[in-house]
Amino acid sequence: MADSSEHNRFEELAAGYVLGDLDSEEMAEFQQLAVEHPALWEEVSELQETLNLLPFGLAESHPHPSVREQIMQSAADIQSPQLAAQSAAPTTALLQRPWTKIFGSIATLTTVVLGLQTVHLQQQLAQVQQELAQQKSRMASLPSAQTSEPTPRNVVITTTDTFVHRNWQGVEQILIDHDKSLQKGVQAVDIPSSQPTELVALLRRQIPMPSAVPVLSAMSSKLLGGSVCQFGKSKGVRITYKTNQHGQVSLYQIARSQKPELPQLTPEKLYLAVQDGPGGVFWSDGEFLYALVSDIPAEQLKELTSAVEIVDS
Amino acid sequence: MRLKFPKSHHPSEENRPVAAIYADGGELVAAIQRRELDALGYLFHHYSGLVYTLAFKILGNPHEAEDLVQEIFLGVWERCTYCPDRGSLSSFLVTVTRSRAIDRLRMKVNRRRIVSQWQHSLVPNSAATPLDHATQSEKRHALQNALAQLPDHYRQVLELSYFGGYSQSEIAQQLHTPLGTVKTWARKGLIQLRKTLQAPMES
Repeated sequence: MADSSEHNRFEELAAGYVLGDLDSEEMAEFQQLAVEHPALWEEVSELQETLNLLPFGLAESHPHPSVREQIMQSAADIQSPQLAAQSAAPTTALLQRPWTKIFGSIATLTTVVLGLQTVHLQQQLAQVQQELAQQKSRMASLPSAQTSEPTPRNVVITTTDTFVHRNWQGVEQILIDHDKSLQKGVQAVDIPSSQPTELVALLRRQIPMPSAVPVLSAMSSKLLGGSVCQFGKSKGVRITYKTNQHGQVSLYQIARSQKPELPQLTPEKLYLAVQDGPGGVFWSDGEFLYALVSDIPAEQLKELTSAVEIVDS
Repeated sequence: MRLKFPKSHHPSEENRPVAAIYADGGELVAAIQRRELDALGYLFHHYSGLVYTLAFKILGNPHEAEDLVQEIFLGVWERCTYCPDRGSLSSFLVTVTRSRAIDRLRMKVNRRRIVSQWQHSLVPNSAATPLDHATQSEKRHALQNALAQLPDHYRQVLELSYFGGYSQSEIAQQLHTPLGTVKTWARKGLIQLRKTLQAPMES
């Protein structure tokens, strides 16, 4: 960077980013600088490498020798069936996973999602506008004692893909992204991980992420991993879960921007049930937009949303 | 970008221990992805101490630490997401180990620990334990020198944050220090560490 004071500022922000302690204003400033000067990711990378040297400052110890034997034996056990399977069918190791078939079936069932026409578009629009206006009115009329600690109120909208397409292209892109990820199955996950903090740490190497990240409770779902996504000019991440009751679920965290178009979201949750398509829950903390998408009815989405937890990483 | 150490004494970072058989960490991982058991054995030989030490520091229990070591190495064997372009292999293993250890820690219901017990476990002035391969010795030596130059409170805050998994708000509360001060100490500490570690290369 040309200006040393600007560089010092970025260095400080980069250190805060690596340490996970940026507040929302600093995160916005960091993102802006990183967009203007992509080479500054080098700075982040250097600081991350430095931080990861800290374990070398500890007095070193070693695991019991039996640990090595167990690992090598388990690795050999894993290797044998895979080699057998590979010789039987020339597919990748990934495709040997049994749940690939399950995802394949889900993907087949959900391939046709968008494109249906509706005759009630104007009515839907009027209804949605009315509901939003009522919601806004209710929020405005809340006593100040309550607004200081607001009770989350939720908006439920049943609509069609056509309405979404014409009004909220950002929402449509998210729903399509979820659908594509269903079709790809496990291959939609670029960074496989079953550990939330680990996944966030690995994603953070690729994209700015705040220290507080929403995750689905491990009680209700199995974390498969995450991927970096691009929606218009906004970057985000898609975190993929497998649930027993609700199939594959995508949880998005996307930086806010003007494009693509999205509803003016608040911490209140917007439940969007799309006719014949996947449904989603959308909300925002002002800095990031969040979406939870799955092929289940809005009522079940509510249940699923209650399992969202915030991990401070 | 990787941290670099003086070439006259210290060949390129992380390449030398692996160079005897594998050109670099990327090649070692590629061999693991080809299901070469020897490569996994090599990885374990060179990195299990680092992984175990970190796991034990965070979890505080040898059995849990060993369990995590198994999970990490078998995870690499089953599907490794390491990408050489994004940093060194040791940094990747450290990131994964630390994250998983902290995830495990958070799953424990009773996780009320006293911050003071975390003080001074980094050993900036102690004699380095000889490692069985050189590059990690170089890192250890360089880091200990750099830590020795760091003000105590910088080091303490970095340590609490990194090994303890505490948020900086928690640290501020425990140390009765304003949050802004804690953030400044941690950031300055990290920046100073990097500068000190880069100094030999630039001199």
